[in-house]
Amino acid sequence: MLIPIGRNGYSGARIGSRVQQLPQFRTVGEYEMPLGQIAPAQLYAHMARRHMEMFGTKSEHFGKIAVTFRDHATKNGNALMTEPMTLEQHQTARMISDPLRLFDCCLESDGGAAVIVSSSERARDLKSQPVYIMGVAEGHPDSPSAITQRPDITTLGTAKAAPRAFGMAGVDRKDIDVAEIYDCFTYIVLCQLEDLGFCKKGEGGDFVASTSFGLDGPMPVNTHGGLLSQAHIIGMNHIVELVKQLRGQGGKMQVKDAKIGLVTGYGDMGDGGVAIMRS
Amino acid sequence: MEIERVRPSPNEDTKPFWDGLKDGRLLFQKCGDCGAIRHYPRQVCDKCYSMDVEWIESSGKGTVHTWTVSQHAFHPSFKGDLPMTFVTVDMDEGVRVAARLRGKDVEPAIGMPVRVAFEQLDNDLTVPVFYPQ
Repeated sequence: MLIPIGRNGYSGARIGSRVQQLPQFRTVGEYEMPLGQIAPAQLYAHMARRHMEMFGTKSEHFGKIAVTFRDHATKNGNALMTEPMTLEQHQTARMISDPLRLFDCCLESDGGAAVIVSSSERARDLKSQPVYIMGVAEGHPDSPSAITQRPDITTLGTAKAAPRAFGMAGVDRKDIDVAEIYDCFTYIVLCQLEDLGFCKKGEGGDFVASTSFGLDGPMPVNTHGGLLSQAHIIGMNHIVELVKQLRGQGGKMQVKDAKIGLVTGYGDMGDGGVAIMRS
Repeated sequence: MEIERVRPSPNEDTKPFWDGLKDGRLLFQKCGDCGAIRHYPRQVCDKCYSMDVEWIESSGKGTVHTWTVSQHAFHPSFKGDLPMTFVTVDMDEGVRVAARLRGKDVEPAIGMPVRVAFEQLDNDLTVPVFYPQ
């Protein structure tokens, strides 16, 4: 099965315009957009602000995520953002919707990506080196129609998907050598690290501060640069990157001895998909 | 050229909400069967799936659940309004309302008690706003 994705998210209809187009966002369109709350950055800012006030999460935590992914993008050779970024540059970039600054927000990009999925038996005869899907799951937030209406706006559908995906895969968090985490906003990476079980809810800030997500660190994340610094190809680029990593074809971004990896997908304000794969 | 405003597109299930705002009343749906109060307005009760509905008037009071201050207008009709402070409010009736926060030199904060007011944008559209209590 070929799973392709292509979009003109920069030159065509901008990515944020989906909010106006998709029927599941009718409530946002009717009750929030006429007030001036139009774009995902404004809606996600509510989540991030609540997390910060409840748990002491800081903008610098978001900055570390942005800076790390940018560093990976500079090594990529197939990324839109090629200049390194400092934490200071992140912290002084213009505010879009408090607490989200410019570099907390992902790119809007033109591009395409694809993967082929088949049975493992059939894959043996194919030209390309297969990687194996160990576990997959999806989860949806309570009251998915609008972020503002969720009982707990600091938890994503990912929290429901993660135990099922890890259970199916038969591995634990410590077994993950590399993770490609959907990063529409820096905060959403921090939130998913909690929801995936790498740390407890509310501890994401401390976890980010004390953990290196760099290529040589204990937990490499978004080795391609992610939506924040490679391109926004709807997260398909995350799957492609994980496959490359597990094949040992990561080039300058290759994580040493990457055997088991995790990728998350995400969309429409909080649905979470998790896949765990092995070489 | 005047920039067209972003407008809601009410249907028969949601029109009473918008009509209520025009009359200076914040209305919520209450299930005609189980009595659960819900918002945003919709056809079916999310607790018992009943389609029987009545409308009740809110006390207009609540506390801030979360907030943001937008420095970027994502639609040209809001460019003159920047910066815009938005709050998500836990109403005393147990539902959430999204609206702008008004008031001179008001610093938003989670837990801040607020009360609703109404701003008429034009003949066809009145929106809720909140002020500190």
